[in-house]
Amino acid sequence: MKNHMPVMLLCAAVVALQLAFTLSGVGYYLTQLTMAAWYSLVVLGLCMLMGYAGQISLGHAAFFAIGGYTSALLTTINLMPFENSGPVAVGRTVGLVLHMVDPYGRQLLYINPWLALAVAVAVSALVALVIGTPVLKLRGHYLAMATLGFGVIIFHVILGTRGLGEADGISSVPPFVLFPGVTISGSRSVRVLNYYIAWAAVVGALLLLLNLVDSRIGRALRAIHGNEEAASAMGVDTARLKLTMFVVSAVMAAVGGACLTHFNGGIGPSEAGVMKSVRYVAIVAVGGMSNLWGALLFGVLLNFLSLRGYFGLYDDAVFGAILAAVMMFAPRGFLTVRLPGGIGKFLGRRGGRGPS
Amino acid sequence: MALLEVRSLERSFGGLRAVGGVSFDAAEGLITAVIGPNGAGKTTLFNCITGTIHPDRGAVSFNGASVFRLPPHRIAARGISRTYQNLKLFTGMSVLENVMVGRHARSRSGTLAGMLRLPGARREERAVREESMRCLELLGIAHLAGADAVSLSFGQQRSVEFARALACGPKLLLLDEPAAGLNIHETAAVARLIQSIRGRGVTVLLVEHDMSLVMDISDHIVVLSNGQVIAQGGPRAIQKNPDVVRVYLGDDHA
Repeated sequence: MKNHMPVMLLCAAVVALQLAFTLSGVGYYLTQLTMAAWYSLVVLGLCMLMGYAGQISLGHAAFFAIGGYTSALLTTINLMPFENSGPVAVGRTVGLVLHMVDPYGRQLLYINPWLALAVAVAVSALVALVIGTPVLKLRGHYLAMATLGFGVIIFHVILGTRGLGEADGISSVPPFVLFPGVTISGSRSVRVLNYYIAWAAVVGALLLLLNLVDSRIGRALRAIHGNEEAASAMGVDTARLKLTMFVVSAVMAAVGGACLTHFNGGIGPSEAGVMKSVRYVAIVAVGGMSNLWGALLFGVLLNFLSLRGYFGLYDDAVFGAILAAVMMFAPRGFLTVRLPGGIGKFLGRRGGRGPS
Repeated sequence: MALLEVRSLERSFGGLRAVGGVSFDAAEGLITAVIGPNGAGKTTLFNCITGTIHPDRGAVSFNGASVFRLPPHRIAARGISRTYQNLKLFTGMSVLENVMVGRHARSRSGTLAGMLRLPGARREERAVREESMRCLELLGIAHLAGADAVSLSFGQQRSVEFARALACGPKLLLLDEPAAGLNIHETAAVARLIQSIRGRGVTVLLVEHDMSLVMDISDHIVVLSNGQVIAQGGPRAIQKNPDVVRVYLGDDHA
């Protein structure tokens, strides 16, 4: 990165928010900001897919859910009955199977969340590959409808599968010990720590994507946006790049889903719902499509307000209305609408180089 | 064996046979021109060679291997590059970035390398930038490197397309009406440029309406009419060919 300034400012803002909330006695706001941060991983990946690869997905909540459910399912299987079997014993010695005592005093043996996360990433990447290969040949509303259909299918599969808890979802998901002393958990004692874990993940993901935008691949993506025919005549494999971005965005959504599931201690089918997918698309659109900073800003702001309950019963309606309003009044996002003092220009500077 | 060999190439759109069994060679190191009246099938022929559209039948071999029906990016990777009659620059990108995309097929850093800014990717990126700047210098537009490509004048945009097409170091360069919309001086500059490109060992295949340009610089001329080759040969032979004169000027002059 040639220009570290915006990322440094983001880090400063993260610290400032934590201090402000903690010192003013509303430390519990950090919980929603932590959740909003994990959701931001979906938003950032989707921004890359929509804004740079130019492909819409109305099914990204499905990838979030695939990540969350895979992680939840694997870490809630109690391996105690198989304690003395070979694989479990070996798993324990190499640290892939962990031991814990639950609040009711039961002895639990469960799969290390790191391993579960790796499986979640692999599953989401595989599903993205299998779905993306045929579906990304479609364009415009056909692609939107196909991804919407995929999302609906995943939602109903989850809702109808007993092993995934049907409408109840999966609960009692154990905390995720990243390193000794650094644990993803919703417990109050680690609230501030978890806020920083989530934001470190967001900053990391943002850096990776900003680097990507500035790389050979990012340039090729912008070229596809600028003129697809000429891009392929210059040697850009347009189909493959779109698929790659689909997989990258799916993996980011899955990581967000898995981590938030450990934070919340569970996951329910609403995470896979169509309105969740619409929400992610609305956030990317309002941030200006090919503007990672805009997507992050609006993603955190809107998710925070939503999680705090400011939209009440109209939660989904608010996001639907935002999407409609953006399309009608500011199809290039609100950050390109003239803001005083060049705020929009500043925000759009690094991520916003994509074509209109 | 010629660098590019086109055999019995056919492509129809509905009932219209845009290219109806075209055969010709483009010999290595020479400038071959394809001429013909509007609608003769010249641009369709170009699009079939570069893979932008699929030919129905026939054969295209390049450098001894078939490129028939390969996707465009693979044909580009083999060393065929092109410019467009109606400029197709990448909107929203600078002149230098446009040219750097031209180098895509000659570089390989992938998604992960780009995300992590691995040393290899950064080194390659520097090399791509330098090579692209050299192409801009060759075209005399290095001072425009940072400009928004589509904000330039028509002639300058054409130069950017040339630089982009040259950036991948092609063996064969396809130029679709490089002098269209240019004045006499600019056309003369294009003629010098094409000759200097040939001087660097690049084979040129050219579609052009400007007859004086074609007759001045071409080594070999292929005349298309209604999707068929009606004549081919050197500039002098073509100028005297009665079929060619008839196609261009009507029966009275033949």
